[in-house]
Amino acid sequence: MKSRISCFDTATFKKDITRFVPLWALYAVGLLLIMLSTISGTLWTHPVRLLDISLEALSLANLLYGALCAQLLFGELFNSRLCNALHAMPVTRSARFVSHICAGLLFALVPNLLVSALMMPYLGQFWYIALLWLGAICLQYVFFFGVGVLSVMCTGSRFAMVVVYAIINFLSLVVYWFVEVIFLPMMPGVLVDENTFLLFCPVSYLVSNSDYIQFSYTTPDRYYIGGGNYLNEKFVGFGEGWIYLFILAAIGIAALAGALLLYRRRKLESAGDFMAVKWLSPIFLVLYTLCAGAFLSIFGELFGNGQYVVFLIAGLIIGFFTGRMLLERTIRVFRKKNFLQLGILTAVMLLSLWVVHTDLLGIVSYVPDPQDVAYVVYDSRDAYDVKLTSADDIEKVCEIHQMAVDDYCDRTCGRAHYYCNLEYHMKDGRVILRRYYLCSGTTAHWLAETLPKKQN
Amino acid sequence: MLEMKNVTKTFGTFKALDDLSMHVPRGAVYGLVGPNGAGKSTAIRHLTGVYRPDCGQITMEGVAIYENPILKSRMGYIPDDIFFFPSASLEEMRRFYRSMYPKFDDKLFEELYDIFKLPKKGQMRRFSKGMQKQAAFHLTICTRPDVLILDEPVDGLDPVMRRQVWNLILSDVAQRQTTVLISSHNLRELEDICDHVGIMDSGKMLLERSLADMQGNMLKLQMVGDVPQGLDILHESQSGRLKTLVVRGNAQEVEARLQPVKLTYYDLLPLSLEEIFIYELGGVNYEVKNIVL
Repeated sequence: MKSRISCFDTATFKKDITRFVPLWALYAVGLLLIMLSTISGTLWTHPVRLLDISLEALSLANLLYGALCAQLLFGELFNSRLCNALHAMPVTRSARFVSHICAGLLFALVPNLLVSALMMPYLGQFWYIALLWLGAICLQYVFFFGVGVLSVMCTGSRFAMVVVYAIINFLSLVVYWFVEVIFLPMMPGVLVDENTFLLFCPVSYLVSNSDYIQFSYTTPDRYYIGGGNYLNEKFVGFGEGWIYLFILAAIGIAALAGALLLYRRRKLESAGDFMAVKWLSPIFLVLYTLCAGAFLSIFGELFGNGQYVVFLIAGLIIGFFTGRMLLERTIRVFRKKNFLQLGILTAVMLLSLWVVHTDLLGIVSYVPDPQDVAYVVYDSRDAYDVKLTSADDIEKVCEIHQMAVDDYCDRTCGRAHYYCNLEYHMKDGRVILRRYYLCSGTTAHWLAETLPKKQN
Repeated sequence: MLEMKNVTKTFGTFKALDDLSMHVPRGAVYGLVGPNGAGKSTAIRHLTGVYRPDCGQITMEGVAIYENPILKSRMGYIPDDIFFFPSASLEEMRRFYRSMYPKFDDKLFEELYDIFKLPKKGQMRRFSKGMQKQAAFHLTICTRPDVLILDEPVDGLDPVMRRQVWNLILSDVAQRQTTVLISSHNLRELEDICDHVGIMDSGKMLLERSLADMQGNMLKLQMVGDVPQGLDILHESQSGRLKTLVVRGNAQEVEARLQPVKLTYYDLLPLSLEEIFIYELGGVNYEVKNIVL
C-alpha cells in the first residue's frame, strides 16, 4: 500500500518521465552532436581542452534546456483545467513539487551521463576528465533549472515565465548598460569593472570564462584542476571556474527552496494571469520598463551619437505601458492612475540622475585614505600594471588622485595629457577603480612621473 | 459528511463566496443549484481541495480537506471542463489513476467497457465531448470513492448514456452509501435523483434542505375567491377567475388559513424543483422577466 502522506509521488514522477521522453532524447542527441563537433575541433590540441571548450557552449544549451524543463514539468500551473484536475488528486503540493524536481534533474543527468560515458574512449588515459565534465555541466544545469522553476512559481503563463526568466538572467547586463551609458558620463574619473556585472549574468560569465582545468605545455601528462599557472607549473588554486559553479548550484538549490515556498502558498486561480505572485507585479513592471528602455536605446545607437537618448525615453514609456498591458491583460491601460505611476517612476529616475550629477553620495570626490589602502595597481603611458605597495608610493598616488579630482581634465584643455588608471585594493577587500587624464606640466603629472615604472 | 462553514473567497475585488455554509449528509445525493455565476463551481473547487478559502473551514468528517491526500483519495471529482494529459489513451489514464487511488478497481474498469464502449487505445483528446465525459465517469467510478462530486455531470451525454450514468451513481449510493454532490442546471433530472438540495445565489446559500422538506414547505395554491390573509405569497397570477399563488408553508398551515375564508374552489399542488428554484430566486430579484423586443 502506498504511503499516504509522503514527500514524493511515484505516479507523478513516472508520468513526468514517460511524457517527456522526446524532450530528453532530443537533448541527448543535441548534446552528443555538440560534443562530437567539439571533439573534432580539439583533435589537434590536448584532449583535456575538451572540458573548457565544450562547457562554454553548453552553458547556452543549459540556459535554454533548464528553462524548458521547468516550464514543461510545472506547465500544469499555467492551465486552469489541468491545474484543477491534478490538484484535486490525492497528492500534496510538496510531494508533487519534489517529484517534478527529481524528474527534472534526471532529464539532465541521464543524457549527461550517457555522453560522458561515450567521451571516455576518446579521452583515453584522461578518461576521468569526462567525470569532471559531468560534474561541471550538472552544476550549471542545477542553477538554470532552479531559476526556471522559480520563474514558473512567480508567473501564471508560459510567456510570462520566459520574460521573467530572461529578466533574472540578463538584468545585470541591463544595469551595466545604464551605469556605463547614463551614470558614468556624469561621474568623471569613476570606472566600473565589467566583470563584476558579468558575475551576475551567469550565462555571459560561463560563456566567456573557462577556468576548469589548466594543462601543462611542458609536461604533456600534467594538468591542474582549476586555475593553474602553466608558465611556472605552479598550482595557484582551485580556480574561479569551479568556485563559481558551486556558488551557482547553491543559488539554484536556494531558488528551488524559494519556489517550493511559493508553490505551497500559490493560489491556483492565478493560472493564466501574468504574475501569480501579486506583490511582485510592481517590481516586474519597473525591471521590465528598464529592460525595454535599454533594449530600445541600444537599437537607437545604430542611428548615431545622441539618438540613443530619444530611444531610451521612448523605450521607457513603451516598456511601462506594454508592461501594464501584460499585467492587466488588456490594451486599455492609458488611464490617469497609470500616467501617475509613470510620473512617479520618472521622478525617481530623475532624482537618481540628480543625485549622481551632484555627487551627493560623494563617489566622484572620494579619495581613499592611504592608511586604508593595501596596495595600488598603477597603469599609465610608461608604467604597465605596476603594483605599488610602499606607504610613500601609496601616499603619492592618493595625492595625484586628489589633484585629479580637484582639477579634473576632460581632455579639452588643448595641452598634451596622459591617462592614469588607478586600482586601489583596500584593506577591507574593496577594489576601487579610477581613470584620470593628467595634463602635462601640472603638479599631478610631475608627481606621477616620480612613481616607479616597473615592479621592484 | 462534507461541510463548508462560513467560507469566503474573493478573486481580486469580486467576492465569489460570501460567508457560505453548506452541509452534505453522509449517503445523501445533494443537488447544488443556482443561477450562472452563483459560485457553485467555486464552492466545488473548495470542497475538492483545489482552492484555499480566504476564511472559513471546509471539512470532511470534521477533518480539513485542503492538502489532505488521505481524504482526497476517498473523493472522486468530475469537473465541468474535463482535462486529460494531451497524448494519453484511456489505458494510460487508467494506469495513472490506479497509481493515484489505492482503491482503484480494475475488475470494475473492465466491466464498464461494456457500458461505455470507449476505445482503449487512441488519444483521448480526439474523443468527442460526450466521450470524454464518459471516460471521466469510467475512471472516477472505478476509484471507488466515498464521496463523488460532479459538476454538470451529464452535460454532453446522450439520453441513453445519461440514464446509464444516473443508474450507476444510484447503485453506488445504494450499495456503498456513497455521498454524492451534483451541480447542475438540469433541475428536472436532479429532482428524480436528489434527496437534498442547496440553492445558491451570489456566493451565498439561500436555501438548504432535504427535497421532501423543500417541496413540503412551498405549495402551489389554485383558488377561486379572495386571497386569504396571512399567507406568505411568493408569486401570484390570475387567469380569469382562477388565481394561482405560490405560497410558503406546509399543507396544514396553508389549509388552516384557507378555512375561515370559505373559498369556492381551491387546490394545493406540490411544486417541481424547477418551480421552487424560479420562485425562490425571484425573491432575490432573479426572476423571469417579460421581455418584448
